Amino acid sequence: MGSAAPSRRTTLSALLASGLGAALTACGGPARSVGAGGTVTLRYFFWGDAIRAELINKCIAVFERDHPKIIVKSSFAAFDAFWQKLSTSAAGNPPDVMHVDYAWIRTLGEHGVLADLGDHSGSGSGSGKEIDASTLIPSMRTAGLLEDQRVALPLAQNAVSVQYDAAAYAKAGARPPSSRMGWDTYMEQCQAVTRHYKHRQFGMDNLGQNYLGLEVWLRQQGLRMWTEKGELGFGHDDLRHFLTKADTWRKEGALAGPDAVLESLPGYPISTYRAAAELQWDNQVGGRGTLRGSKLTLGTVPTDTGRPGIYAKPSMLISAAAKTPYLSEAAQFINFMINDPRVSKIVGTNLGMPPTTSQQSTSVASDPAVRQVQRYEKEVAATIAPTPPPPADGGASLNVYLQRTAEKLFYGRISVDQAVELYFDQAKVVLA
Amino acid sequence: MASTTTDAAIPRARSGDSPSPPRGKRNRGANDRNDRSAYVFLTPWMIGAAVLTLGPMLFSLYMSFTDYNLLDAPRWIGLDNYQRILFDDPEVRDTVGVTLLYVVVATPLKLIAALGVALLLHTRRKGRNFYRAAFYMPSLIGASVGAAIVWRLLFSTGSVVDQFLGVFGIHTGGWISNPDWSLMSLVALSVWQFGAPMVIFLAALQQIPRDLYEAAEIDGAGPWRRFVSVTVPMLSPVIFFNLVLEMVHAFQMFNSAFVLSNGTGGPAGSTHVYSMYLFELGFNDFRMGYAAALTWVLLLVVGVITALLFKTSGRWVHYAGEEK
Repeated sequence: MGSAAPSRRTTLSALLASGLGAALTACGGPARSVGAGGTVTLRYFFWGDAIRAELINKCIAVFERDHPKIIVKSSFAAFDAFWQKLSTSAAGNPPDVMHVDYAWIRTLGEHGVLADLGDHSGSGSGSGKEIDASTLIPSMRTAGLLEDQRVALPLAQNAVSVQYDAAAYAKAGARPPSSRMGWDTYMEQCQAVTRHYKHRQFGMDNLGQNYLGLEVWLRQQGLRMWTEKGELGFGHDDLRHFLTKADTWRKEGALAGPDAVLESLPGYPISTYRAAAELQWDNQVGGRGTLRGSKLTLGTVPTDTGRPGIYAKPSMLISAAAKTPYLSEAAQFINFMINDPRVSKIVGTNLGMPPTTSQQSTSVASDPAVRQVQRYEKEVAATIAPTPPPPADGGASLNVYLQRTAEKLFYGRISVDQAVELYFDQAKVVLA
Repeated sequence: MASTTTDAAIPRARSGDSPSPPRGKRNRGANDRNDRSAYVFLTPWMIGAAVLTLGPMLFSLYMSFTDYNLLDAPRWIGLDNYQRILFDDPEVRDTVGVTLLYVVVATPLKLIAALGVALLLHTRRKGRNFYRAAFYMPSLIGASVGAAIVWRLLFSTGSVVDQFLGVFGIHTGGWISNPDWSLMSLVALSVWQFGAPMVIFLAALQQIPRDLYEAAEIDGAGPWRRFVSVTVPMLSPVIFFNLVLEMVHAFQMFNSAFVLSNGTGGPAGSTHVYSMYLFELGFNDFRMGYAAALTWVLLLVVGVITALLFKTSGRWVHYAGEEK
């Protein structure tokens, strides 16, 4: 036959050369930057966007002016990428100072990634060498303590609220959300909004696809999401009850469907005009309003039991790495971030509300969003619970799993009972 | 064309396969010297392969037998990870289902598109180079995040595709938020990148001797007969090559699913492919040992399917110099 067709050997080798094997390669961390000339370089890693980075870099400039021997080199990543980078570097070459989410405190603390700042902060509550933790507002005192180890300090605090577009609610003739109203009453208001906007915009984002929804619901029933031991504080029936309610409200048109949630990504239904309200941390009200392009108002969370269900959460914590050779310098920087009034003046509510009295008193209130959050926090101050125990190691992935499972439920792919089984099966694996 | 890609591979295959082929006495010295210089030239590549590929691969094989979360030292747990993958993980079943569906639908469609366009370009001489480059372009940018984002816009509710189908009375809504259609938008993205196999097909088409067609024509064969009896058998090694390659790529598909679903694998898990699950386990949940076991299972499965394809290829792939 003709010589045009390639030989067997050629074809085989070509296939081999094209790399049949999957890319099973890993990569190492970046090299340690070494300070010279008596100065110490702290590597500081946080999550956020360019706006946050600009604000934080302004704070760093102030700190460096005060501490000429310390250089702070900051870097940032989006939330998901932040954890990927942090975890892959944690064992070998972690940053000296880092932001830590409350859901990750236990994971990082129990695996020895975070330094115990107890000696540097007067064992957590008193006045220590570098860090003054006595200024922490009362609801924030326990945040960052892990079995009496001070593995982190709260950098900001916030509380759950219902953010809603007051103008849209008024146009639809719906009453705004309030803790003086039961859930079913509020969902009727949401339905009115949905009807007014002919299902293009729903009364509220789907709280069933959000762990915050579940957590607030559980706390209103007198339960907790996590126990002190890091176990789930609720059972099958509780989750079934919550998901059944959420699915009913979705079917009635009060809550946005899963397609609205998905199509809004990487934004949120409230920012894409697919929902007129969202259960969300109060300090996000300014940011969400900017994304949406219209003002959002903070409302208290509806409840059927009289319990508000909300608690003071450290929206962000700051820690030093156990491996850092510059623990004292890191502690000085941490103290600056949580106590220096110039920091709260620069960052506003970008991170949350100031966690200490020293920052609270000087926090600027010229920004209407800041003022609104301050008003809201004052309003709920009497009923708000202190920070509950942090989620278990693996709690963050379980929250993602809840979202996925609820999505399948709301698409009608699985039943409520199946969703409950899937969630607890996964919990067994993730929390093992 | 295919052979140009492979020239670099042949010496590699040989140096591994047969280190001491039978030689004439007279040439032995010269050959040894040649071998030595070949190895010297190959050294950088071999160091790279050992350090950057083989080393991590072996480590991942070791990891797959451990419980490893990056923060603590790996803990040896034997075959537990594999046992869980095969028998206990419902998510593995779901993601394998999605992945197989994607492979089975996307691979043949892409090859058909590639061959179809290659045939069209083959018959047409004018502007062939331009079209070849134009059609190849999506292959270069297709796997990129940017293209997937554009795709996301194309297939969301009220998008161009949605409105276009609406003209014909087909109302599917947004494909990316519809669990029945979302995977098809990924298939469409894959088919759109037919350029790479197309270029290979086109080159192979140009290699088929004209006299075969002339002989067939004299025998009274029409265009379809010529395609089935001349083109396809002569192309069969290249079809086989593209089939294996595209199948392997399809099994590893990650980027487009990740971007189109914004990393959720949604709607309702309908684009949650195996490699995405593997990534989440490794880099979101930090269960590196389990994720490593998943990669090895993927490698084995792809290897077995490739071996099966090779086994059946004797029946339909025609190689040069072979008597049938």
